[in-house]
Amino acid sequence: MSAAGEPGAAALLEGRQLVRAYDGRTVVDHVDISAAAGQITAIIGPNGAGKTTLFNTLAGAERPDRGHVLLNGRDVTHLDSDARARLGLARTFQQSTVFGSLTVEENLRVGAESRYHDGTLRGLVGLPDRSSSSAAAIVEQALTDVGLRSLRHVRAGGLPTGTLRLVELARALCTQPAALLLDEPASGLDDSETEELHQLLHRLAARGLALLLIEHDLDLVREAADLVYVMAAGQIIASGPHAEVIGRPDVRAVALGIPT
Amino acid sequence: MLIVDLAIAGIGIGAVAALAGLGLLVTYQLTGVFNLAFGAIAMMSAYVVWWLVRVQHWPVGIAAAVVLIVGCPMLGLLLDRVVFRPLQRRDHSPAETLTATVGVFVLLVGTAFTIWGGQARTDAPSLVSGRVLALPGDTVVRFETLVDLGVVLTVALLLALMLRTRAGLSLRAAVARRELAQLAGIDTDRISALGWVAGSVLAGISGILLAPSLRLDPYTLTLLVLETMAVAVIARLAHPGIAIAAALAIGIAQSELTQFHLHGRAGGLLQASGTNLFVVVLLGALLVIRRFVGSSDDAGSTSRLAVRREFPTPRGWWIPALALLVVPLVFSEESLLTAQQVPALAIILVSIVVLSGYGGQISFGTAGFAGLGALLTAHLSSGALSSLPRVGDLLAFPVGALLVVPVGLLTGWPAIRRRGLFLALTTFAVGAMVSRFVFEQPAFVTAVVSGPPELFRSDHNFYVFELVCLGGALVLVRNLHRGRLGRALLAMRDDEAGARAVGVDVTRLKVFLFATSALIAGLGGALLASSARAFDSGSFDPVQSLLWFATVVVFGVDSATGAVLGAAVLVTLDATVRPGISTLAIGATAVMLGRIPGGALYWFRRATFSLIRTGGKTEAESPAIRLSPAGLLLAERLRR
Repeated sequence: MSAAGEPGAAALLEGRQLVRAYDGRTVVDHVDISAAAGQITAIIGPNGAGKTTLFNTLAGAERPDRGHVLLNGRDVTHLDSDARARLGLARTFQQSTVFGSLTVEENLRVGAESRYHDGTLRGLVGLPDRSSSSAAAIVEQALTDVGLRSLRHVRAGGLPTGTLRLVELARALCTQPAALLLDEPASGLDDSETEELHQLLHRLAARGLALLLIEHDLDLVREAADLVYVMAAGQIIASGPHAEVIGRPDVRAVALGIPT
Repeated sequence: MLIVDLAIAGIGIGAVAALAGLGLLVTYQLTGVFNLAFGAIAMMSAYVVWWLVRVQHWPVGIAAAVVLIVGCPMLGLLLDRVVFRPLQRRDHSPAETLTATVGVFVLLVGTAFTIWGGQARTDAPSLVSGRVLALPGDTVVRFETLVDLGVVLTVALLLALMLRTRAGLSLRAAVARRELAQLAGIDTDRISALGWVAGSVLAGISGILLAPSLRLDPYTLTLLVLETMAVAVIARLAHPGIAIAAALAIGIAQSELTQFHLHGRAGGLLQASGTNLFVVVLLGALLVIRRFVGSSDDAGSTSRLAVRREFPTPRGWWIPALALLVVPLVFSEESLLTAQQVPALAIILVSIVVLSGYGGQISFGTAGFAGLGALLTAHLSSGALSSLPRVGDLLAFPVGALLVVPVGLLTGWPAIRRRGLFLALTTFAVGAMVSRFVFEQPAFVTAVVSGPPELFRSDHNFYVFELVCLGGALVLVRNLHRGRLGRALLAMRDDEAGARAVGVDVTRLKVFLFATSALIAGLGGALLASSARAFDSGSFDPVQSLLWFATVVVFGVDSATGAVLGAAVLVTLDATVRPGISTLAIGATAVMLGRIPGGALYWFRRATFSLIRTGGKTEAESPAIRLSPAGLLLAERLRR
């Protein structure tokens, strides 16, 4: 990978001093985090460390109580998640949010089409959609990338968890993101699927995407991540190239519950 | 002292509202269901007491006792066993439960209507003699007020005691975490049953106490009790003390308002506030209280009720449908006049399909939109309201409908951050506000002439005009369901967070959807009033919204065909059997949602599909899943 772990790499997505509290309990505590274009950045840490909440504040599903989120240098803190998505920030969820009554292909279409803002009134009066041919091409690409071609006409509602994850990933890719947040992308996947995911992540990074993932599968993190953040009790307790971070016994003890 | 007298008068209604609020709250706490049918149970109890006393000549005390000790608990148990437990078992979605309560509501209203007719009775028996108690100073207290207050305090005391005992602890455990409580050996079914019984009895008491001071008809009392849910909402469905305090405060404030008088239209509104403060507070509370904003526990979309994606409407369906719709043209004049309601009602129901079926937004405000459309169209064509310009009587229909759009936008705005129950309640409150402050105000509705436009004066021509309007509405609906817009709407309905995450502008889409739905409903309302040749506020009563919603769900929430069919069935049943029977039938079908998920039409479609595909695969199986023989066996067992 290019410039692995280099602190100087240009941050595409950046969280600055993010704070999020529920009922007085601080779940994300002054977190600084950044993901650079062309790199895979991973967040690891025990359950309840605040990883998903951090993700939500970055993606816009939740507003931080304090701090800022920057996308490509632009302050997007005040924007809703859909507006952030249209600016090139895509995400997947820990629990599937696939649209069950649509087919796999239609799921992807929704992602590919939403960047073109106008068209609601055009659609109502029955005028043809101007974005449809480019959207179709994007969908084809994503179906190929994720390997879902054979399932394209299947209704997404009844698919197994692992497949749903891939649909969600493909759907996120269809928004043509600059930064992609993946919440435990490997959970629910079997070994060969995980390996394919790993390959895919590398290809995406090579295309210049900034990837940020939460992952419990340390093998995947070891193989894929350029940079690792360790989160515990709402704070970032360590960051750096994974070998150095995970290599430290104190980090392993605090973050992963592995005895020294 | 006027102020004191009014305050005492207000305590009476306040106390009954408190009772109703407590009833809602208890049911919600013990069963997790917000019982919209509460008002209907109250109405039914009052009706049965009236019938026992006035028709069967029972003594009022015995009649009330029988209803409260035998009738209401039995109804509660029935609701629990037949309607809500099957839903509970089936891992229901909140939208399904909400629809089931609407079903109970519609069923009870329909039953009352079918048995006792729609006319108002003014002789509801009172439990308490009309004696008054003189206090020092010229103040008098009606004995009734004291009884109302006494009942509320007793109930509150019982409730407080119950929650403090060990049993109360397990009650709360069961409510907070049903599955965990079950693991701990708590019989959650019994607790639910208890909740339904207690709620029904409280509803019964409220109805019986309220009825004498009101006229008794299937709508009035039902609606009034429903509006007192303001109290439960203020108490955030959790704090009995707050509910009682709020109820008394609103009751007193409402009563005090009657001493002020203003002239002109403002005076009318003030007067309306003096009798409808509960609605105002309900809407205000729903808009203001933060907890209801984005509350995820009630995140409910109608996805689970949808049928169309699984069993799409067959191609060419519109040919027989059109043929059926054209048939009334050869009817006798009288029948044609009745049939004129069908396209109008169909358009209104289609507006619900748009909002609830395609967009997943539960809305109980349709009657408000439809009525406004009717009123605005009538004013536009007659020029009776000086603030509206007079346009041609044909143009009045589209312009009138367009003028409803801003109201739709206003209603859509709270929907941006609300879902499920609280969105439904907010839209209901909007509909009730419009009904109370516009439709029931003489200033707006007297001298309103509704009727077909000049060009389509004859019954035949007007019917054709209606069909053209229906066609237009269906084209809009088809466009909403197709292509990019259709996908985005379904995405929003299926998973709002997911839709946002891929950049679907959910906020914009919701507001757009409410506006479109309001437009369609407004047009339908204008046609409905025209087909009746008069604006009748009863046709656009908030209760109608609930009936229409139930109809749409029963006939397939995301099926425009179903909506048209539903309109035809409603009108035909009422015209051929007896008025009210359609309400009864819809209610009876809607309460069975726990047993027939997806409504009646879903099963009809499923049956047709398996007929068509005999020999082939009956269920669309995804090629990704391959079942082993053991798996197939298991699937077969599960299916049964």
